Amino acid sequence: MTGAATPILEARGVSRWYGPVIGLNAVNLEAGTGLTALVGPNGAGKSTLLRLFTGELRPDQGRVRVLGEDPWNRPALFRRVGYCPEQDSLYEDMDAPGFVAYLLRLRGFDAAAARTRAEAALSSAGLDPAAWGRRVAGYSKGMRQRVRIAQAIAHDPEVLLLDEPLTGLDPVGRRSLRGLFRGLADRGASILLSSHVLHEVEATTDRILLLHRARLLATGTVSEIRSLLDRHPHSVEVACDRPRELAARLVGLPEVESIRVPSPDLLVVQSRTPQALYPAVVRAVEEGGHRVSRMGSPDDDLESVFHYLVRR
Amino acid sequence: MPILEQGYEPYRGPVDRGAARFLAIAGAAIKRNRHRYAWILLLLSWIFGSSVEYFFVFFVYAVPAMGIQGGPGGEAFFQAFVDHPNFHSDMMASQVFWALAMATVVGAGEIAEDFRTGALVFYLGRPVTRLDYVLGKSAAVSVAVLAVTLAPTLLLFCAQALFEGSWTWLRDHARVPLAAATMSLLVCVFASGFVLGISSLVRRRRWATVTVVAVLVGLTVVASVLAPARAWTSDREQEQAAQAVRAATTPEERKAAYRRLSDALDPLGSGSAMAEWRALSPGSLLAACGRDLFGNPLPGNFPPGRHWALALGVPVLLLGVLARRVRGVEVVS
Repeated sequence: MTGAATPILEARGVSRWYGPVIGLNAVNLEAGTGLTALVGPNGAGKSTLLRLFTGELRPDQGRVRVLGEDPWNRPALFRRVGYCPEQDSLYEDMDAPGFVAYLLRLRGFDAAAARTRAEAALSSAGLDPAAWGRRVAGYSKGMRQRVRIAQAIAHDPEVLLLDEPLTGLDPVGRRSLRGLFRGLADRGASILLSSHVLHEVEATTDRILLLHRARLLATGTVSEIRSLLDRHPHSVEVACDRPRELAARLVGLPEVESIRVPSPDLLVVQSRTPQALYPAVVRAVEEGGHRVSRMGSPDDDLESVFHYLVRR
Repeated sequence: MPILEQGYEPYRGPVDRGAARFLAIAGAAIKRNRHRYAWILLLLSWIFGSSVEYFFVFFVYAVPAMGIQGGPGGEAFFQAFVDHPNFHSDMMASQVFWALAMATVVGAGEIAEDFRTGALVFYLGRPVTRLDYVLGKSAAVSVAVLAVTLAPTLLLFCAQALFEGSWTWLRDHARVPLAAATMSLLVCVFASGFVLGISSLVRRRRWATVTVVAVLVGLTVVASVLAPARAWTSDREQEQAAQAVRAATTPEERKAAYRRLSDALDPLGSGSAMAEWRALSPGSLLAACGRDLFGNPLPGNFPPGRHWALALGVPVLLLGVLARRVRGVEVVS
């Protein structure tokens, strides 16, 4: 996962407790330039990790580094970092450009520059200019989310930390913002994006950090992680007519681990060597004259990988 | 690992590293408050209340200047108060109530609401120090406090100076502007520390306001019960002072009698055996500090020095609590 000589984000043996509850347990990770996704179910420790990177929390054990520096009590470091928090914590009585400009002024920009940058960032985040004059209190959830994203990107930070940034957005908005993040990452920004929506992450990046129950479960691309899961056989689903006949043809093959017929028109074959299985299934279909409507593996997506991992 | 374009340009231009951050925080807090009904109502109440209070200064100076005769003894009554050495410090002390009220309305929700809404993360995730944050919020409170303490006192001083029109008067009262500024600063520190410190311990503006008011009223009631102000002089002494006013025949005698009466009724004094508890009331302790700053004596057995310890110690303690609370989310969650 290292994208540069010095990792942009680094955690070494990081543990963090909330009283008797552990939020993060001995996590080691690195993230470099580009877009990295922090994936895990609710309560996995994603927000805790991001709060450690933003200096809101201090690790109980281990060390955290952002751009090579400890973020705790280091305000100057945050000139180079943008953060989109998960909480809906806007000043309700301000308008969107005023709010983003105010936060830019806290970064030291003068009033005119702050206003210009705020409007540019709101445009990038896709907030309709017609809504700029209204108070934030009247905004929809999606509009508020766009304001939070705008305040994170408005100062062109080197590192962007986004905690569930697509929450509350409609599908079109999600797609456009995924495009925005990918664009920033492709141009060289370092982005760590947390999400519990796996298909969304998969559509955004293939570099993932999987967190579950306060521990780092896996790092790498989806296919890299999947290929490491040798203990779990790979499933291939074949939707066809006469699935029991097709099962009889396949059952003797060495590539086949097990076969199930969960419904009258579906066959599920499990194998530890999926590359060899696919040609064998095609041959058996041809020999038996079966009509196949669909064939594929449900295991190639991130959700399957995640479920495999958390069941271990 | 893909080869990335590297065309992204993080901002490395100039940024203001000075006072801009805390001024921005103060400015935003003031803007947020300006449309609040509670603040507008309080401002109108203050304008009305202070107008009545300052009216007698107009009565003393302007009425004779316009050739209008006051009622029997009326001029002497007001002139006695204006000429009293405690006049300016007591006028400022009378504004402490408004200052604390303004500070409560403006500041009580500032920290509490940041905690409740989670807006604190926007500050912590920026190049903003705790000092910037605390100073910014304190500055917002201080603007409201200065508006009701320093501004009217200086206005009054200037008006008096114009009416008096003599260098001697100016020389005799040269201490007033500086003392007023110092007193205003003290009230700012006390009000900011008190209100913002309590605000940092509560999670909603409403509850913060209720808590601040309850503490202020509670301390004042306790001080008034344990060390009642009117017990400073005996009923007999007070009656004698009142009798002297009635018996006075010339304006000079009447002025002297009024001065004696005002001394007898000095709200800072208490004849109680527990007179030292008088300093527990925030209004009294700030008024006592004002007397010191204006060079006026404190009455009788008002505990010496204790009011300074409380006036400076309480806000410093509560500002310390505030700074600790905003250190990080882990402290407050």
